Amino acid sequence: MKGKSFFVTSADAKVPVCCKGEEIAAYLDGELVEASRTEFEQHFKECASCAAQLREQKHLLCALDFALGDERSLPLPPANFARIVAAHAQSDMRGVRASSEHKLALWLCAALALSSALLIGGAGLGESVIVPVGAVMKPLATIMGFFLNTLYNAGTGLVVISRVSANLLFESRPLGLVGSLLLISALGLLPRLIISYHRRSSSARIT
Amino acid sequence: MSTSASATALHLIAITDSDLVLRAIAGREDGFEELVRRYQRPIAAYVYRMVGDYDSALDLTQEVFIKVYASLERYRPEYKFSTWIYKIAHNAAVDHLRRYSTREQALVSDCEGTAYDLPIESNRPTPEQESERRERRAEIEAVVDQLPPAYRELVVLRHSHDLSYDEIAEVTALPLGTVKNRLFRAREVMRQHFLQRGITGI
Repeated sequence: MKGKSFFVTSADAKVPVCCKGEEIAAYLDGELVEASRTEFEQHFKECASCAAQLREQKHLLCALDFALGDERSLPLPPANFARIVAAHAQSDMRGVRASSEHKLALWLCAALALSSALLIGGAGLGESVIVPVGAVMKPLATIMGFFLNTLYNAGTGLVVISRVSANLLFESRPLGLVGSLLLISALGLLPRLIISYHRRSSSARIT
Repeated sequence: MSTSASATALHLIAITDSDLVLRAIAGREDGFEELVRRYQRPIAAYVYRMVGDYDSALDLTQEVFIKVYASLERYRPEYKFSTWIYKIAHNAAVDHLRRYSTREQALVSDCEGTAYDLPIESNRPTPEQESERRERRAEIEAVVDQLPPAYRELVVLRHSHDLSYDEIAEVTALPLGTVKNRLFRAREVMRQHFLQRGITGI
């Protein structure tokens, strides 16, 4: 490859790397203290392998600084961004900074709610309180009525069934007897069937 | 109106970040706005490099400033304000990446090896050299974009925002040794990548 000649990697050089690559990087990044820096600089003069590594890393660092250091290539925030952001931050409820401010806000809300309730109570209980309560109660009463109606219908159904079965039992005896026996045995079997079904389904769930 | 606004901005230029924070806490609106003005570009650029999408970067930048405003009282002036705000931006960007991670992260090694030979030194750039530079910048940026976020962030903080190892460790909440090691490894990955693509002079 054409570009390969520009790089002397440690593998190519076949020289043991005495300086760790990350230490050389730290040196180039200006992260070493004065004493270590001088020591490194002396070492680079004597060690070809480290000097080569230093050169390679330096080239890359320059390239990265060149490519990333210039933010002009990046899209800019809009012109009035600072103003808009500052306004948003200051109006944001999360921007209420101290917890004492949160507490104060809560207390104020509670006090307002209480005072408004008292005012409503004072300014005509009949119109302001009973009318809304009545409006809530009306649908509730309708639901209750529907429920009671259903219960009543179920009761009358049961009465009809029992009357028919009693007629069968006492008027046409043999047929009535068979019918009532069947009904009794069915009623006896029904709970067992329900119980066994539930057992089966629960054991299936466990496995 | 604009004259008075620029006059206010001018008289705030000399004020330090910490004093602007105090000003904002005291309820002066111009204090916080000046802080936003100072940091909007670097924070937007950093977040953009992290998430790779302009609209998300602007939304996140706004979110960062809202968080900064909400926690101004927790800022301790013995730390650099820039480190503190980068830390908040780091958390926002990492959260965003965790939620909407759609960027291609792995450096692809099987690229076609088109040979480039771009000179590094050029004192008087001709239009051709200028376009070569642009091309090379785009090339390097593309490679940085393909780094895994944990590597990319360190490279961006170091080379785009000029943060020291200590500051990077502070921002990313990583141990100093990890920062040093990862930064070196990130550069190695990139160098190998350039080698494989035949890009010389880097």
